[in-house]
Order: sequence, then structure tokens, then C-alpha cells
Amino acid sequence: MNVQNDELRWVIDQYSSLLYRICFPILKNEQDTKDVLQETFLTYYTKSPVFSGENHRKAWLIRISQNKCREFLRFHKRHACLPLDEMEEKLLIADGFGRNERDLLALVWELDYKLKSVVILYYIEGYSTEEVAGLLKISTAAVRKRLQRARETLKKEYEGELVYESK
Amino acid sequence: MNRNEYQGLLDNIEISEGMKRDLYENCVRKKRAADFTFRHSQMLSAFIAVFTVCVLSVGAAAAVMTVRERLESMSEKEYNDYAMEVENDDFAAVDEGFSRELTDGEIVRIIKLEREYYDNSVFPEQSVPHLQTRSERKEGQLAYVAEDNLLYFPEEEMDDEQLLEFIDHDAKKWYMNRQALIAEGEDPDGYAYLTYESTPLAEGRGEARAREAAENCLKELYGIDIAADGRWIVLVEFFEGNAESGTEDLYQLDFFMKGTGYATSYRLRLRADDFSPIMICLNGLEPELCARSYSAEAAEAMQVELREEAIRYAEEFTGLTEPDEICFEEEEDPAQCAFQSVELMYGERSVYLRFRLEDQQLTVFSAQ
Repeated sequence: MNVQNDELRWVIDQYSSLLYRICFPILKNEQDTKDVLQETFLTYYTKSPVFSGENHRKAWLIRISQNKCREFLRFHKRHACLPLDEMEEKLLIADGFGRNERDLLALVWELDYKLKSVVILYYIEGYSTEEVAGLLKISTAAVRKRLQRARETLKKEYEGELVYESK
Repeated sequence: MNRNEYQGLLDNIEISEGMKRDLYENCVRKKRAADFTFRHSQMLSAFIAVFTVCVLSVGAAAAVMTVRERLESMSEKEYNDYAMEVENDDFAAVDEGFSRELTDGEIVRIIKLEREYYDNSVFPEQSVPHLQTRSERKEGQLAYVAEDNLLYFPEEEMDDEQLLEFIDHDAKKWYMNRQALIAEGEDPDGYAYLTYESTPLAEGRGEARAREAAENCLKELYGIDIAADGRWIVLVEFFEGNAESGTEDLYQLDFFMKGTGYATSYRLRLRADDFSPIMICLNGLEPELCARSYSAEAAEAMQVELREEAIRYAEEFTGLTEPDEICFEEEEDPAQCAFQSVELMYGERSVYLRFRLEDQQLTVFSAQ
């Protein structure tokens, strides 16, 4: 095994769970998520980018994975998506979801993917709006606008009681 | 939306060791993910082929033509241009696909002109051109540029002809979205935002009674006569409640006219048992843009009257009387108050209302 392979193994070990949990709610499909991760790590492996530090590497991987998600969804607008219930069965969830966590995730689950990516990065992964803008290569104003739209959507869904089932 | 509440929500999701191993082995073998090597080109070429075959190739607009006829008679080139634009359209919000935001003045004029376009067949003299690169665009030209997937507006506020072109562009994209679904074997009328038609209702059934109750409510509140105005599209949907979460059966009704979505539209939710409203909501930018603003002091002075109105509406719609608590919400920009929100608490129940200050019009009602 060469140094590059060692490094790849370490990077996959270190970052695959992070990328998985960012990409899965966007793609809502395990196979597609795996494809996106494979493309992301393959890009890393073949391009061997140079980083100024670990945060830079992490940001680069997130950005590439989001680009791949975008590329994927652009051409797979009606690809089969899993409902949240089935997703839970597919995922390895260390401690299970509490009721509140599940309800929150259910709200995020139904957001449009572009809103979802900023919500995941800002609210769930804890990045600042400036950092999210850098990761997604969009302006800070666009991040704020999307967060605002997400808040409005989530508020409407929450107030409108998402628990209703369409007949 | 509390950031702390969401932080770490997904932390306990982990990737399996087996998947990590697969990722590693596939990368070392430089194996591409199948979806990224095959599906794209197949999907895209199939999409274009269908549109090329379907196109009617009629060409220029006739003297008097309905919007539907106009859309169905796009030239083959235009049809394919729009097919590509729709295929590339991945914007979460429509205005993210514009080179600049529409001004408030433009939006207000669009709302007027779209009624001319849809109701009176007032069409632009030209159509929005589809260009491949920015360099092809002339200064000040309204044009779609494929290389950055943006609809470019002139820097100056657009004139009526340009706004009609914009409305026409929007209508054509809407039509192509319908066609995309048809090409994939789906029924576009199953999608609320793509339908031409109101929900067909059987007389005497719950849906029809809900529509009648909602129309009465809109007439009483806003003076609009839906039944007498054939331009409204009315969608009715039944939602089953969930005993576990304590929710009840309800009907949701959407009232809108075909257009860009800036104009006023209405959404109501009614209880299925007695058709009383659970939610009434004015949507669209029109109610916001056309509302007069007041200072925080002036808005506060109006709270006395609004308080009485809020209690009256709450009683009328829910039967609840004598709230335990009344809370007026602070608006986002206190220097420019055009609306005032108030929440009435009745034990474990609550009623939220939002009023336009200018005429004390109820714009949102929601009972929990």
C-alpha cells in the first residue's frame, strides 16, 4: 500500500460519516449517497489537492460532495426517494432518534434540496453563514436568503402540522 | 427555528464499515459510480428527443390566441430552448435564477400585466432570446444565458414590453414543466402548481361543501366572488387526521389565478366535520408590497382596535371567548410596520392572527 492509499483510507475513515449525514438527507437514497461519496473521494484521490490545514481539507470535501449532490439531482429530478421511516431502517443510528429529533428531521427531510444543504450546514453542522457561503460557493446574501426561506417553510410546515396524511 | 435545537441532530448517524471499505476499494480501482457515468446522458438525450418529436412547429402567434394556444404553438427551436432551460433549472427559489432582484415597482406592474396576458391575450411583441454565452448578450437586453443558467434583466427598470416578455418566459417554462412530466408518463394535473384546472368535485360530497364554505368565507372576509369569476383555479384536498398526534380530518383549499405567483392567492384549511376554518392565509407578494407602512408608535396605537377585532374573529371562527392572554408580536422592522401579528391564548389552545394596518384586513388566521 502506498502513501496515497494510506491517506485515502484515513480520509474515508475520518470524513465519510460526516459527508454521509450531510448528503443522505439531500439525496434521500442510500445508493445515490454512496455514489456521491464515491465520486467525492475519487476526485480527492485522483486530483490529490494540497490543503493549508485540516479545516481546509474538510471544507473541500464538503464542497465537492455538495457539487456532486447538485450534479446528481440536476439529472435525477424524479429519482426514487425514501420516506423518513425507511431511511431510519437503512441508517446506522448509534443511539436512535428521540421523538423530538425525529420530528425535526422530518421537517428538514421535506425541504427543497438547496434549502436543505444550507440548513444542514448551518443549523446541524454548525457552520457560520460565511463558512456555508464558502463551502457552497455562493454569496453570503444567498445563504441568508435560503436560510430565511427555509425558516419560513419550516415554520409553515410546523404550524400547518406536518403530521396530516394526504388521502 | 432554534439553532441549538438542530445542532448535532445527525451526529449519531454513521456509515457502515462495509460501505467505507467499498468506497476505498472502488477509489483505488478508480471505479466511477455507475450513476455518474451513464444516467446523465441517457436522461438528457431522451428528454430532448421527446420534445423534438412532440413539438407542433406552428411558429408565430396568431392575431387572437389564448395563452394555452400560444404555449402549444411554440416553434421547434423555442420548444427545445425551453426544454433545456427547464432541465437545467435547479433553483430553489425562482428569483435565484435572475441576474438581479425584481424591483417592487416591477412586481406590482407584473401583477397587473399578467392579468392582461392571461385574461386578455396581451402578448409581447418579442420573446426572451436563449443565448449560449454572456458575450452574445447586448447591453440592457432581457435574455436567458445558458452558460450561467441565468435570466438577465436590464439594469434599468423594465418597461411593459420587457415585463410581458418576462411573463411569457415564465409561462413557457411552466408549460415545459408540464411537458416534462407528460414525457415521463406522469399526469401534470396531479401537481398543484402545474394544473390548468380546478379539482373536479361531486356535488353534495365533502369536498364540494368545503369549497362552498371556503368561498363564503372569502366573500365575507375579502369581498371576492369566486363562483362568479371563472378565472380562479380552486384545488381541494382532504387530509386525514392522526389520532396519535391529536389532529383532526380537514380540507385544504387553494385559490389562485394562473400567473407568476406574485399576485394574491388564498389558502384555507377547514375542519371536515363542520367546515369551520382552522387556517386562512393570504399569499403572494401583492398583499405585502401594496400595504402602507406606519411607524412603530402609530402601529402600537392601533393595537387597541386590533385587539377587539382579533377577539371577534377568534370567537367567530372557533367559538373561543375571553382569552387568558393577548400578545402582540414585534414586527421585524419596527420603523416600517405594515402588519401587526397577535396571538390569543385560551388555556392550551391558541389563535394567531395577522392584520394589515392600513385597513385592518385579516391576512392570516390560524387556530391551534
